[in-house]
Amino acid sequence: QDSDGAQYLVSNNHVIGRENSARTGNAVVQPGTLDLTQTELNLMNTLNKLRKELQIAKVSAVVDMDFNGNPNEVDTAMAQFTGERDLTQLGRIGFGGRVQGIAAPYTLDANGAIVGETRVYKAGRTTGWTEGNLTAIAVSSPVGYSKGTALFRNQLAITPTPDTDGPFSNKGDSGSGIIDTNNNLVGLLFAGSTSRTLANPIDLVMSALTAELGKGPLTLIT
Amino acid sequence: MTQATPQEILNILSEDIEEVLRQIALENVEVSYPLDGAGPRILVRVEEGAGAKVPTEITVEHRKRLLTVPLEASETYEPFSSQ
Repeated sequence: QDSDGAQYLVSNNHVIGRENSARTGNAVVQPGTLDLTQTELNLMNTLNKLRKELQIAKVSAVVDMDFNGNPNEVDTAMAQFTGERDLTQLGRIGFGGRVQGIAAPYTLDANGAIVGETRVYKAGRTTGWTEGNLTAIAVSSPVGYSKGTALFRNQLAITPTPDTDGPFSNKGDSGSGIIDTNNNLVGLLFAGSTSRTLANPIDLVMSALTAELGKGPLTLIT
Repeated sequence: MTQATPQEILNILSEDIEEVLRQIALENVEVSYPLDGAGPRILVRVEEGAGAKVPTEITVEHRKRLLTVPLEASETYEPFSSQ
């Protein structure tokens, strides 16, 4: 929510920002077209029909990513809700519970160990509810996109817990909020490898979106 | 030469990442501060066979101070892609 009270959804640049190609005002639909049956697609076979039935928001701000070797810190964009849907379930996580707030950034103690717990969770479109452990911070790695490779720094790396069946995340889970054991947001999921997940620290996401939108401060709707 | 503190290692990974990667000088590299409790260092994930090419430490000018940072090579690089 911005300083004027307008409400937004937050996702990734590569999900609703079309890897820097989206324009302000572009429609965001839910569910995405990949999750529609052929019958549904046939019924909504024009952009206008699709927008009429499924639009929930319009793109408001996209934090551009650099594909020329300069380090990125976030893969994020936001879209303002356009009033078609019931938003009372906004803060709900998976099958229950609600987001409580934004976690403070992770810090180290004098011995270099992380302060606090490393257990994290997410509810995503593809892999549903999964549990993981934060296994590295300040991660810098190249990440592949359809447009090319982008270098990232300051990321969080997550590994699924031993009793989790399968990966912490997979294709289609991007945009999921990652929470800690107190249901506070710690990160925004955006990338993965065969065994690990990468997330933007949520404080970097909020800072970047506030700067891009120009209507801060942005507050989390819980 | 002064060894970087754990917090300084984090700061170096943030503010001096281009220099860190320049000194490692390998393709397909992931660097991070691992939380495995095995000591403050930069974990350098590289492709199989490239581990021996990773320096055991680097020296970085960080905020006008020369600091050394231990590196640990791990031949466990896995490419990340957007999900």
